[in-house]
Amino acid sequence: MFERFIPVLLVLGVAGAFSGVFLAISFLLGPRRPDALKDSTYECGIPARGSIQIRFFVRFFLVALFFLLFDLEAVFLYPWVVLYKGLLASGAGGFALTEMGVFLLVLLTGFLYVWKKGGLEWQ
Amino acid sequence: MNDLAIPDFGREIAALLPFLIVAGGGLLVMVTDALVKTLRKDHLSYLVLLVLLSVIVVQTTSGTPEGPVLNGLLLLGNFSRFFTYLFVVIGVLTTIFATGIFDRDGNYRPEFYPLLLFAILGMMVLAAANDLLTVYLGLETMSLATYVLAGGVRGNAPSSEAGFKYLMLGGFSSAFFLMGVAFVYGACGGTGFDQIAAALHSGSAPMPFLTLGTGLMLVGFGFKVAMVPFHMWTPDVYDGAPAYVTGFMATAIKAAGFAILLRFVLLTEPMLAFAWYPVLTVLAVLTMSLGNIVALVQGNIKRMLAWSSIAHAGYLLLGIVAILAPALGGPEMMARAKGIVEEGGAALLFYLVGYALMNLAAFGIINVMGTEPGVDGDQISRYAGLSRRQPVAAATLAVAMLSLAGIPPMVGFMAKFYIFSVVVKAGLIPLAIIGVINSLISVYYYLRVIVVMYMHDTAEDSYQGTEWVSVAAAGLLAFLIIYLGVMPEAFHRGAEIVFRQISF
Amino acid sequence: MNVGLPHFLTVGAILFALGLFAVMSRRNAIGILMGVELMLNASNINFVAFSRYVEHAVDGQIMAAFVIVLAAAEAAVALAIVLAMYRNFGTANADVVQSLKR
Repeated sequence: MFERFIPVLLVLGVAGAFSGVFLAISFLLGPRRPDALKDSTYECGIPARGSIQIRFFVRFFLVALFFLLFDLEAVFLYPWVVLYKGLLASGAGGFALTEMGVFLLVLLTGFLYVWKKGGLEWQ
Repeated sequence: MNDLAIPDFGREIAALLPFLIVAGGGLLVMVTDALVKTLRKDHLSYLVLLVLLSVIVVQTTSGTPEGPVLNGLLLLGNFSRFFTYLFVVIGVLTTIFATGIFDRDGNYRPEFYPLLLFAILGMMVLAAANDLLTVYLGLETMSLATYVLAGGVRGNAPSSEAGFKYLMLGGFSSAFFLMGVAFVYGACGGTGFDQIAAALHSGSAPMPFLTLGTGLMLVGFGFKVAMVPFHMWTPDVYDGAPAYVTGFMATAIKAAGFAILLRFVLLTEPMLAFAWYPVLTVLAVLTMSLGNIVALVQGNIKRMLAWSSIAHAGYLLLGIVAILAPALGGPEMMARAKGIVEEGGAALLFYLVGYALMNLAAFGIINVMGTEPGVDGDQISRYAGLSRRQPVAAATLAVAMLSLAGIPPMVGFMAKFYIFSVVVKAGLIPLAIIGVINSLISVYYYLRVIVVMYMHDTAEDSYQGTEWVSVAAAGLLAFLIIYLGVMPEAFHRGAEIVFRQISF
Repeated sequence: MNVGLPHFLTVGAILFALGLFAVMSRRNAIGILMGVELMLNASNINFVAFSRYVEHAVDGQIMAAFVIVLAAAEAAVALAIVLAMYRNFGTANADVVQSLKR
């Protein structure tokens, strides 16, 4: 089964060799006259300004954290969804629904807390 | 947990009621905090106390069902109930101590209360765990809450440094722990304790995976109970965290850590006793000795108690070593084995309770003496002449110190006595001698605090005010320390009954 | 080439070692955190591999789901604590923040 990948490897090798050769030629033969503008970061032709280490507004960070937490809780929804049909058939649909309801209620409490504590305000 | 058995709803709810109360209580406190916008937040403390007391009432009055629940994820019974009582009592005292400080400074930390409840929930799950999944969940619930408890004092640099160190090293150790869980799971083909026990008894588990996994898990346990060489975080975190949190960490986390370590050692004993025994023996000796020797030179009382808590982890490890000894001894040993295992377990549980009492009493007083974490009245020199300014506080701290040192009428003496006598009974006389020498060394630094309090002149900048509720609570603990020290038999026998449930 | 349990365990071990190296060598708090996350994910690989090749059931996968969520919770708590530390010390360098060593 490994043999099937030989063409891919060949393409990769040829591509790597070609670009390497051309880069080497231009590096060896090309003229080099560096100046400040040339050495600056290329940013779509617009002169680069300022440092890249800018300070993020701390609210970005908080919202990102909240998103991360609430987003990942969805991991628990997937197995529940997959099993729900089976549970419904075996007569435990109410039980499964209640369980997920309680889980979502807990999440909702966390959301309420964040909201009321002002974690979502852009000030 | 493989099959989709639909559980008996009523029984499950009734069995899980203590857990549900703590979890729901935590959420309720959160919501109350968010919705009631007052400056004073002491109503939250009453709510927390109500929640914790109702756990005690529910657990005492209703005959909560025993045995496995949630498809065997948790095992309820005397053992889990015993630890729930312990954690709840520690939680009540921590709430009282913390609220005293909040009231005094007028600086409330409302998030303290729900986090405390969630930490207790994690510990309860840990003590009842019957599956590696619940062990990990309980451990992380407990840890995540305590990271914030230790590091969440706003604008306080030592606290945030303590939180940071605790979190970094805690996360690191829990990554090792998790890798260990993965290998034990791979070796035994299941995460349930029953499956693991079956795999170990049949001897079908591959040895390399099993030893590797258990060794990695030991890193996680060792970190939580502050065992050498995983103790590096302890002095800094105990020092930087506010004293009410330090008291909670020193007592409750250690108890939870030992609860699960004890269960896990007993679970893996059939195949791994030969490995546990030398490893834990060496670690116990190192932990005791290093803790006591470094504690000698500490000038800060919280750092001193941090090293002392490491030393006490060593004494507790001796108890586990004694429990393991019969499994390796000859046939004559096996005849007495059952008795030694039960006595060792009872000694361990007794020690955890006694240790919780005396450490909470000490931290209750230290908490009142301090002004704020890190810059507190943590230098022992600030306690000079405390006996004349604050006789009750000084007497309480003195009782706690005597008990920690293991001086006779206190519970600390009986706790050490039970541990050492079971070690001797298991035939490990050199270990017992090392333990006794260590206790003798420790007398020096505990007594120094008493000498400073009672014999030195009052320091200039020492604290003058009083928080009578906290001092009264700590005084009550001092009374219990003496009471259990004088009449330990009934409690010790109770501990033996509790332990019998988990000794397979 | 037949891919089996050893291959997954090797990947897990390499990832774990990389995470361990990151934790040991990084001074920046965020770098340490990333190392810890790598280590947690290394265990996840092992869990899923063992559940496929040893247990033939889903215990390991359930465990992995819980680990993913708890790792996120840990990252959130960690970032909050690092932020608090940054406010108090003006740095997130673990070697600089050593005020408690006395």
